[in-house]
Amino acid sequence: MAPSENRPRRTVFLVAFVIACAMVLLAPPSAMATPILTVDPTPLASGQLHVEINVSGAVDVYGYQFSVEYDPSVLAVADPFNPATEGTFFSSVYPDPGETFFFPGLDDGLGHITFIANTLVGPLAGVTGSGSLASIDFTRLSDDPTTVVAFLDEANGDGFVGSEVTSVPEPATMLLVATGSAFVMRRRARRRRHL
Amino acid sequence: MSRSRLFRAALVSLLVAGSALLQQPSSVAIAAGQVLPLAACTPAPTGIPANAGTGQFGPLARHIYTLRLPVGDTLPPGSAIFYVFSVFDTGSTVVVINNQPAGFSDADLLQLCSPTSNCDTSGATAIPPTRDPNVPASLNVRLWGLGATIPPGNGAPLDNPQAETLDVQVRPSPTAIPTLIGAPVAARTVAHIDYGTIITRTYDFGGGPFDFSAPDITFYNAGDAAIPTVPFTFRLLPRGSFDHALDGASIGPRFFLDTAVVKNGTHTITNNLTTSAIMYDTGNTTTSVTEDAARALGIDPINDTPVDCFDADTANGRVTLKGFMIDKFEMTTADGLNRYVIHNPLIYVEPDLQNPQRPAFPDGVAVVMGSNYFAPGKVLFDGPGQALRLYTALSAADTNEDGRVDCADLAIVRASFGKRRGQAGYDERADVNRDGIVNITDLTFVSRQLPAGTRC
Repeated sequence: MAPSENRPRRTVFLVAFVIACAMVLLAPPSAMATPILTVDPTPLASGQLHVEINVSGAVDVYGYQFSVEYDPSVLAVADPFNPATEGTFFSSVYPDPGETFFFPGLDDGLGHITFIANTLVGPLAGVTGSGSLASIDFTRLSDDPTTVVAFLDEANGDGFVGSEVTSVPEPATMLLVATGSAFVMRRRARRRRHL
Repeated sequence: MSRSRLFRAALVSLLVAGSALLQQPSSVAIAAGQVLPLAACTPAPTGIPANAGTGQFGPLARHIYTLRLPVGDTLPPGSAIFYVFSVFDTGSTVVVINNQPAGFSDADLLQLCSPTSNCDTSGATAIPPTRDPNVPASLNVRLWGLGATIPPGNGAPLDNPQAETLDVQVRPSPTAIPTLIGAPVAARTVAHIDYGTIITRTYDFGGGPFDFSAPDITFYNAGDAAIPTVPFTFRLLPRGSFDHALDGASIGPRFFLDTAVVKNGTHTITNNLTTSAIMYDTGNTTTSVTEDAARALGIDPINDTPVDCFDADTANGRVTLKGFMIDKFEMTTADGLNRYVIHNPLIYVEPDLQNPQRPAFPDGVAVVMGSNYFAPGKVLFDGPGQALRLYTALSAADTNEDGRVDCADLAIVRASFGKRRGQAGYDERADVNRDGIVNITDLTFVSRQLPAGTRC
């Protein structure tokens, strides 16, 4: 979904931008990489918010699972039954249908989308590099600034799984995420005041 | 009513009652669909010969009867042998000799021989033409000499008079099977036991050795058209041990593994019936576990009501083994890759006569597994053309236990994805590592075991 050329000014103001970093260890630990999750929002002319969850620095990824949090007073998932759409991280390497197995996540309507997951199918080599893991379309419920956070929830077993050895994800650094979110929101608010 | 009519009626009643009293229940004929009320550990109900046992097998017991026939006795017309068990300490021979459309033969009766006994089947009579394509209308079986050569002190402390008997289950007709299959099985806790060693099973099969590592081996029942024409013998060669199966587990000397069904042949357990190490869907596997382990299987040996009782009149006195049906028993190899699954096993709890503090239920609990006689969709001994399927260890990724890993297994994971144990929609089959949550670990575990080129 491409952003509108004439995006409404209010949308630009109201979209909060968050970079949520999750420190993930890929097995084996000695060869670990540190995939970084980033959330890239794109306001649409329709009033919806398109969010890409990207990864960078991933090494030999066979499967992944992550969670997303949002403010339900500001945003609603456009399709609650299929909150997320598969990104291109896997499909750019394995474009044939059926080579990946994507699970769109579970939206509780309270600001949590959990178990967004994807796996390669069969004995395929893991994917290394950067790309979009998934995207989520939100409907705006208000013009308030808001935050979308992507993170790894240890309680749900979120993480990146290598092609050879099942990795043990490090605990998601929620504190880091929260700090980053607060920082970004504050910066956005400052900008608004200056406009 | 006139006095003469009243007198005649009374006379007729007396005659009927008298004849009924005089009539000895020398045989029993069970009509198709007839259900006789058998209760666990209760005396034989009316209509069952005096020599009948009352063993039951799980929730299906009302359709199955156990007749304990002395050697040389004759099964009455109208009966069909379903399973034949010798007593436990002389060889737990599980034999299917039903479903023979053209009638039984002496070769069938050879299967009645336990590995430690002789069988003289010279007295066996042919089976008349069947009234049902699956069940002979009548069956006369003379069991000569069975158990006669059992050596005294054959390694088992249970050397009891039942060595001279057979337990014979008779049932009216396999037409009742659909209802049997549909019979509910009491829900119980699924046991999950990490098993330290991958068991490899190997058969000597005819000219063997026969590699049993294939995912799905099929033997055929009596009556199957595809049954091999040449009699064969197979032999189980244990390649593992249950020693590490459970905490404190050991192989019970009194009970032992026995195997499933073989047609036109005999089977031998090479370990001389003292230990056993092979476990699969259709055999009877016996081991001893602790009471705690029994509880882990979902059995409360103190408070649960057994579905089966087995009375053993041993030298130590009368002992009642209580049987419990659990819905599933599974053992997973320590590496998590393979899993043995037995559905609807019958678990016997062995009293501990040596422990006066706990005379009824000891730490040593005999577990008889593998008797999944009517597991839906799994093993059917008695349907026409049904094959007896002996599984090797399933891949743990084979969530639907069909012997292969494919997209259907992945779909099962997907259907429960994100669900936790106790939550609606949680399917334990999808929780491959049994950690209580279906997540990316389970998904990738199954996915990476899909064959190359698979597209889901």
